[in-house]
Amino acid sequence: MHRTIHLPSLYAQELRALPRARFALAGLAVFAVVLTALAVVVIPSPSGLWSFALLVYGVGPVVTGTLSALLMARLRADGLTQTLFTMPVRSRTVLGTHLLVGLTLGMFYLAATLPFLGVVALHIGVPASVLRLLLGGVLLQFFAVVFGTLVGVFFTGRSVAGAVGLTAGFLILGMLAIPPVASMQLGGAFQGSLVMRMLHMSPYVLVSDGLGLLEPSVAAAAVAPMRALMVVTAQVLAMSALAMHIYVKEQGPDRWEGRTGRRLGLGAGALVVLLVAPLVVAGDDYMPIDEVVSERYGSSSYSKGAIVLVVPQGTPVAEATRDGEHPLDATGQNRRDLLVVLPAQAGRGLHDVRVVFGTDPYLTIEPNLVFLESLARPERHAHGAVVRIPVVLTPSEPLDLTSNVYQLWTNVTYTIDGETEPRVGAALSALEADVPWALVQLGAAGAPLALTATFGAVMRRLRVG
Amino acid sequence: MKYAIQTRGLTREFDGFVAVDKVDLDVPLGSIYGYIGLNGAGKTTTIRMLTTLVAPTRGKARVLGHDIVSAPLAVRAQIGLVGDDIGASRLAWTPREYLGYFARLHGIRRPHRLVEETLDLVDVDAVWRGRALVDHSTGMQRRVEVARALLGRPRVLFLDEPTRGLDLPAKRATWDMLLRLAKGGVTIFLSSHEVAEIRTLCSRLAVIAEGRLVYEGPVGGLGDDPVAFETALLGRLGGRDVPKRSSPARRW
Repeated sequence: MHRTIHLPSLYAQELRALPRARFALAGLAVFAVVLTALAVVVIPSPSGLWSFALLVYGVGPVVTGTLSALLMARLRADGLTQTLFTMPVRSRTVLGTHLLVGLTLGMFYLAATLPFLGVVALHIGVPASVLRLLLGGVLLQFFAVVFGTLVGVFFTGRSVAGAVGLTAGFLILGMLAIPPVASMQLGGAFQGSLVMRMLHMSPYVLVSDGLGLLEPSVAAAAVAPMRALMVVTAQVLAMSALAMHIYVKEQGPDRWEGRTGRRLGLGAGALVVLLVAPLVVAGDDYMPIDEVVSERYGSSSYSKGAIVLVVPQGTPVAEATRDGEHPLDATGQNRRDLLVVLPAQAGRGLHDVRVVFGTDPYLTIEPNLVFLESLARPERHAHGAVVRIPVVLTPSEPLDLTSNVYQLWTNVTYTIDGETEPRVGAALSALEADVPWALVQLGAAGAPLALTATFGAVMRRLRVG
Repeated sequence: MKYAIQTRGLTREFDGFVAVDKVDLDVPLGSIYGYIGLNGAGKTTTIRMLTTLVAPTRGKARVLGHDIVSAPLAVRAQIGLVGDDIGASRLAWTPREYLGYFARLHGIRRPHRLVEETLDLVDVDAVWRGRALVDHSTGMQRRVEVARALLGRPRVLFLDEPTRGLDLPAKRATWDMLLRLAKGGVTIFLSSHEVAEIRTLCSRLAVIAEGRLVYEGPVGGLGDDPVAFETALLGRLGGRDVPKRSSPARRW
């Protein structure tokens, strides 16, 4: 009897081996810094959480897929095959281990993003759409790892360049290049055309459809989530089966055993799985629908010359502008002075000033009632007068860590000395609010991984004895 | 006589090119068996077939009674191969890490002791056991490779030009190590194109030229003194270097 090496044993050793690669830890440190920088820069920008999710969960799998192809091709390119395959191990065990290691790396990559989402969740919760993108990231990781493995299996030479280049190229096309075409299609440029079918070549588009991420832009009757999910699932299964067949049946440990014609046939089979099958089952009836305006963002605008918020006892300004210097704290109460400009000719007095506020459902305003009752004596202003109303503004349910916009309506009536009819003014303002310390927290969320990897890389470099 | 390796009509073709042609070998158990030939003669392809890395096109081969085609796992469980070099991706590892990886694959949960004993066996200095392999000399890397091949306690050890590129002291140290292993009962299949090495270590040898076996028998059968041996060998080899033909194996 002889002892055979089984998958759990090889998988455990390969996982242990990963950080031993010369630049693995340094690479992990760089990866952590890049991911942290991405989170710190992108998440706090307007609609940044969505952009972050698109980049990390939609584009990130390109890296994982390329890595998967690299690991697969490297096995044969650098002579590891002859050490591994002169041990009692089956080909299917090696390929299965490779797939599992690739998926583990992919899941590690997704796990590394969770601290950032944790900061977001702590303050604003994680929108359902981002959770769907996270799930899409998992599916795309599966696709990318299996695709990279399949391409890596085809290459048995001394160079990994072909496998890496082909994998990266195809995934960039599918994850980055084709989605903009989808936008053009959804915008009506290619309605009901073959282009729509071609979009199904992209796993990114398929997964987006499958998870309902196209629904806000595409008529409900036109999307086909189940069909899209079935296509991408079938692709993953077919690619896995094809890779296993080639690796176990068509190849020896480090070379093709079949003739060239058979190799070309299998290559054509791979193209059918990846390109032709999705085109056949795809629909071409996607039609754009009227743009749906966001209830909270769509009608907002900035005030023009009517009102301005300043810090308590802040200096009156000549012209009201967007209060970008002092954004509100989106998580608590904010004391401000609301300055309302009342246009009037120079030297004319004002009386009977009345101010009424309205807000969107996510902002409350508590004006100082005493001041409201004493509005009859406004401060003078170059173009009339300014009333200063101390208010407490309390935003709630922010949508992002920064650049949240809340709406404030101000309706004012006043009478100018010598006039019989009161003047009426109204302003719709957009108030900006941030989650304080969000950037620092995002940085802190990414720091442990970067520091640990850097420390590990330094220690390995200094290793002696 | 018991044989560790037996082949009959062993043949390997690469897209019509016959790399090894109807080779018959009988390697006695516990011997150091020489396999000599010029560059491109088919030595490496023979070893790759016997170690189950390449399937034969025709013919049969058994290693310790196990067929290389129908029972490759049984063959692999009893052999070790020392090839050209350590995989580039493992050069950042230390010998301890490198051997620990393979020892664990052999099912040894706490391999530290075995690793140290095996490194002792091949005379790797303790100072170098914790240093990355990339910093080791070619000779030391080769010894670590031998140690790796010995981890599974192989009964047959295949060595493909194990002293290529080594200086004289390193070469002598490797020879001593192989003799010790043979005394311990390990059958050694030694591929080489160094006459002195074969004459020093081996009791029997096979000579391969352009894929075909041109001699199989005791070393002394080619002559007792070095000059006679080399003359007889050159006569069988054809006295010329066989141009290395590109192998279809490296396509894709």
